[in-house]
Amino acid sequence: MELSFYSKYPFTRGAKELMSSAKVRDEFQLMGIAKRRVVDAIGKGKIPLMSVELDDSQLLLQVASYAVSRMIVSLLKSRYYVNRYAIAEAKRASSYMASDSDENVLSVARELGVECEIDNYYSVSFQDYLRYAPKSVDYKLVNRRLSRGRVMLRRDEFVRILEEAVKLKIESELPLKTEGIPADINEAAEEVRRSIPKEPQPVAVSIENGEFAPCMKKLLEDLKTVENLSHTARWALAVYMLNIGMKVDEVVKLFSTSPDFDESVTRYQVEHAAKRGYKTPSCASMDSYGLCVSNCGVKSPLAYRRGVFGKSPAKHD
Amino acid sequence: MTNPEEMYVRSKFREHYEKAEVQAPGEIEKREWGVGGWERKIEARHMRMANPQELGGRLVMDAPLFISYSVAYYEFPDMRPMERKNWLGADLVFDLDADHLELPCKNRHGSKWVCEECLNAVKDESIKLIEQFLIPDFGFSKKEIGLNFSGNRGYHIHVTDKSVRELRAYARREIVDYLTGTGIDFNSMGFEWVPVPGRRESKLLGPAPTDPAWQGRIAQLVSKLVSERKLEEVGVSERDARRVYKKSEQFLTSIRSGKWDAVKLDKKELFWRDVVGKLGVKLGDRIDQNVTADASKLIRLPDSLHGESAMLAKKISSIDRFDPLKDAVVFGKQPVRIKIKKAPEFRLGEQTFGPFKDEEKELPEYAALFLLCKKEAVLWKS
Ligand code: SF4
Ligand SMILES: [Zn+2]
Repeated sequence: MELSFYSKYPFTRGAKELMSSAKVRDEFQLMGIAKRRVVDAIGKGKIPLMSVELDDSQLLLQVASYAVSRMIVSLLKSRYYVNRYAIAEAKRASSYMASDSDENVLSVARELGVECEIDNYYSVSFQDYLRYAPKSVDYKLVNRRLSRGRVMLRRDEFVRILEEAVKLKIESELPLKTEGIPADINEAAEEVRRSIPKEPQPVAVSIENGEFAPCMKKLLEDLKTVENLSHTARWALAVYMLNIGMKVDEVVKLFSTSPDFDESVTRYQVEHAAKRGYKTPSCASMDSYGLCVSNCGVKSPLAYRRGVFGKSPAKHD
Repeated sequence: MTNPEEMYVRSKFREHYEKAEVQAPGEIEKREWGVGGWERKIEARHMRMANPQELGGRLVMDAPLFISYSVAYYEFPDMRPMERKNWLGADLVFDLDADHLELPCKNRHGSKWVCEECLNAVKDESIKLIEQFLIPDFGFSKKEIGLNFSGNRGYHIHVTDKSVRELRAYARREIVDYLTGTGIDFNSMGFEWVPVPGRRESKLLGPAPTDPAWQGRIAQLVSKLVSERKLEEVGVSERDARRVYKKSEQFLTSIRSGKWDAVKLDKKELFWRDVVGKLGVKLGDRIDQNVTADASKLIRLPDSLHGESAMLAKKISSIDRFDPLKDAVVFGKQPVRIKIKKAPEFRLGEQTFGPFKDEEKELPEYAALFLLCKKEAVLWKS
């Protein structure tokens, strides 16, 4: 493989091997790039792509900066930061795969343990698909072409699956053991810590657990356990919270613990939902999204609650 | 053990287990076991069995009225709470129950009893699950799919292939949604209104019968309903249906190339609900479905006895010819005297019994045990 491949996909085995033999000359520059990488990943949720005219030594620096970044992230000692970092790394790789050759994309896939066949479609086993597909309505298995155990995907969808696989791989490999990490990297980590936003504190929802509809209770749990909730699920939860009388700010804060949280997007969406006066989806709709978890004998999750926030139970049709 | 009925049933179960060969599930040492008695189907759980011999011994010694094991594999199956067992993976097991089908006959006989009608329906449902979903869509081979009668009113389907073991709760839920058609989306099925160039109208494109998965299944069903003149079953109005039938040849040809214009989908929602409802596998309500997706549930040991029927949860090699009311009956014919409270007419083996109400009877052992297990009879001591 070429150096440019490893610079795009520094989590591959080949890249690791390369790093164990290659030598970076400018340690100072390397540290700078690595710090940027982590700050961008955690702070902005995005690592800028490399310029196209990098020479070999600069490409090597890129690969090396990934290795150093992982040490820095490990030193931050936070699951939340690890998740956020992994998401940004995965997005970066995904952008490269989108325009890379099939051959290279398949190499990455193989590396991730996702085995793919290409004819008219890019097809993956349903097991891999279920492990890595985004949890949203259009990626629901039922809406997919599934034949002989294989899910047929367009190229961009296949890349999306690989993005998730990259994310999970990076997440599962972190944190690294931090004993013996050189002092300059420890210093870098402290610098990074000062330039990234604070880890959000979980919001205690000021409501008795028993008052929530079971489906919403489940969504709240999922939110806390940092599973990346699907868009539909977030939307349903947000609208529900608004409908039971929570303020926009509180709802936004509720979502801030999610590692792929983007404050401005979330705020926009929640405000939009509040302005439009969206109604909580009915139990039938919740069911069709696969979000209903019980059989409460009500028509809407709203009907489940009693006297929350000092109001009388909501009326529903 | 206080009541004579339970003692009698247990002694008969013991006799059966003394001569029967019950095969242990794969990797028995990693399974959690549960046994049940007269009051409850699971009275004790969190048990471990080291090997098939231990299981064989337990069956004879304890003669449990119910015995089930975890679909999951654990490092420490006898530890508790659950988290300490250390989940290693799980089989994919589906539980199809006549009670979940909500058939009209249920109003007649309730959940306690079954009739030929619901047993046939749940059998068709099992065949559908295997032959229209697990094999063509999920790509499992026949030999990876184990099938057994539940012992009472349904079937259990076990997929033990290694490739499904590590599927997490979310993935199992998705599989259930796939089978039941939950969350299916009209547009994702290839339906699309495209404008006709130069005109104000648009025409409907859709899936073709040769498409894979749900797409193909939907096109096949609608084609079939057209040729059998049964479009009304999916909410197409009689008038529109008649219009389609007049040109049914033309319609069938056009659907074969994915052109759906001829079907008038005025009541799209209704059509959609009915089509999906017809095609999906009926796995009960949300709670039942969540149980199906539960990767730590206990499931009846195939070829063990069911304490509510005294019938065998018999393994099945060819479901088409399987008649549960005959093939799952294992006890003998020697007469047993019982006092029957109440029972509707029922068939077991070749013979039909009842209806009974407050009467003393001498029935063949298998039928007497059946009623004792239903708790609609007691031993008759004179
Ligand atoms: S029945 Fe309604 S309220 Fe209850 S879990 Fe389902 S969607 Fe939520
Ligand atoms: Zn019936």
